[in-house]
Amino acid sequence: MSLFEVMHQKILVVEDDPSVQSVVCFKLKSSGFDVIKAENGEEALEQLNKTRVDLVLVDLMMPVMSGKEFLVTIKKRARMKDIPVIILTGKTLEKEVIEGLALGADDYIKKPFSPAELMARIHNVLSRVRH
Amino acid sequence: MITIVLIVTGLVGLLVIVVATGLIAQKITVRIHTARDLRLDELYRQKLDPILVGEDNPETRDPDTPGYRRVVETACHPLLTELEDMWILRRRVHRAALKRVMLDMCRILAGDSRVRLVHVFEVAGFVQDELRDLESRKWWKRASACRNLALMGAADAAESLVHLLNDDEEDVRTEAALALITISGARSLDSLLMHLNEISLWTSVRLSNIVLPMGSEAVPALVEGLRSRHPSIQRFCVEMLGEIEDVTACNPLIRFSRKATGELRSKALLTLGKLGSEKAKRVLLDGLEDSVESTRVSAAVALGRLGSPDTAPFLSDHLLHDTVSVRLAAGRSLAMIHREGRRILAQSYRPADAIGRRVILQSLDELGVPEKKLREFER
Repeated sequence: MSLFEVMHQKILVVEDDPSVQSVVCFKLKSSGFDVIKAENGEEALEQLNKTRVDLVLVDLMMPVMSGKEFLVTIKKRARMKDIPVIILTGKTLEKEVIEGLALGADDYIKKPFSPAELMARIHNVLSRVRH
Repeated sequence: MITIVLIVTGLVGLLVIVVATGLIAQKITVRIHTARDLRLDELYRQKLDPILVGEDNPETRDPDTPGYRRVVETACHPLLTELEDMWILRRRVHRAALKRVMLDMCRILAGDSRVRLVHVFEVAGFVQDELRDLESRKWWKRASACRNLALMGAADAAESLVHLLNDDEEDVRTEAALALITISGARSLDSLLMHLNEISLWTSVRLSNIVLPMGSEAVPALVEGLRSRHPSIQRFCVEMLGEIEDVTACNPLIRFSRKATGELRSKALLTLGKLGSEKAKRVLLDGLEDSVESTRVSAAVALGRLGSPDTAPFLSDHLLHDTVSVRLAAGRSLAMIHREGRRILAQSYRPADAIGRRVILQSLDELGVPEKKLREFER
């Protein structure tokens, strides 16, 4: 995917850990994406109600509303259910990965993560959605 | 009298005011420091992002080349110069914040960004600081330095960490062992197991979290560890070999179980059962005749896992004439040795005493034999 193609694509990063948020947002911005941040599922839902986004990157363990609850909620809403979601989490057990994917996530990335690999996966998911 | 009371009351009042003022001042200081730390953390996260996750130069992608390190050094230069130019106290606070943020990044970053982080730790002098702390007189500083060096992936620290394996404090020894194995991987495991003295259960658990993911790579070192002078190290090695289940460990374990006694022999026999090699049959049958009850139980359990039909008659003897726990283990194992074992269980029912009969029925019941069939036995 070229820089021209990713320009103005909007990604919502839902993450309560400031270090992860900082790294991910920097990488996304430097790759040409527009980035919106949220610190929990509830804030993310508010953002989704206000703006159209092309992809959501979500952590599972967050205060107020967890990533799992957020995922279940958006998959029930007609306007949001088609937004691709990538889970970025420290939950690494096989059953947790399967559960995350069964909830409707398009990809699952475990922490610690490689930012370069994260970008490759985001590009893949976005290309799949476009085709 | 009244004067004394007034003086005492005044002094108490003064003391209360001083303590209260002190507490308030301390609370304000903590708040100021927390706010400052949060601000500095945010600042250094922003400064580190381009260094750690910025675009890479295709010519210096290989981390083992000097070019790679040069690129990281150049990227860090402005940040480090800025720190150098600060007043000593301010610099100390800022360096602490930078280190805090970088250690936090270790938790989340992998791949190329993690390699860059390792270089930044070195270039910024944090590895040197921790190496100095390894020699501190305060044991908690030494332990903390071991932990940090492991997170920093400081390859140069290996030699100093080996020295700390003989530290007087157990916490330091544990942290040094964990750091060494985190930094050098399986290749440091054999010398580590040889250097370590007795290890606690908690250390075993922490060590196992690092050793198990190594899988078969750790087997040669664990086999070597069986020769340790310390029973807790030997126990750890036997348990890990049982978890990894690599059959190449079978012969050394057979040799070990011939020499070992008590709990260690018992554990080694169980592990041999897990490995499932026919080579272990002889030593397991010998184990059935051991004078220690728990060893006979382990041998019986292991023979069941092995599932070899020609061991069934030996298990049958112990089903009829041994302590209850050995009889139960023998009965269960016979039930696992499909046709031959179950035939022997059926044959043994009549000559068995009341306990033997209950063991046979329980073993078959656990195996899922229908109740109707069990009643036929009773008749």
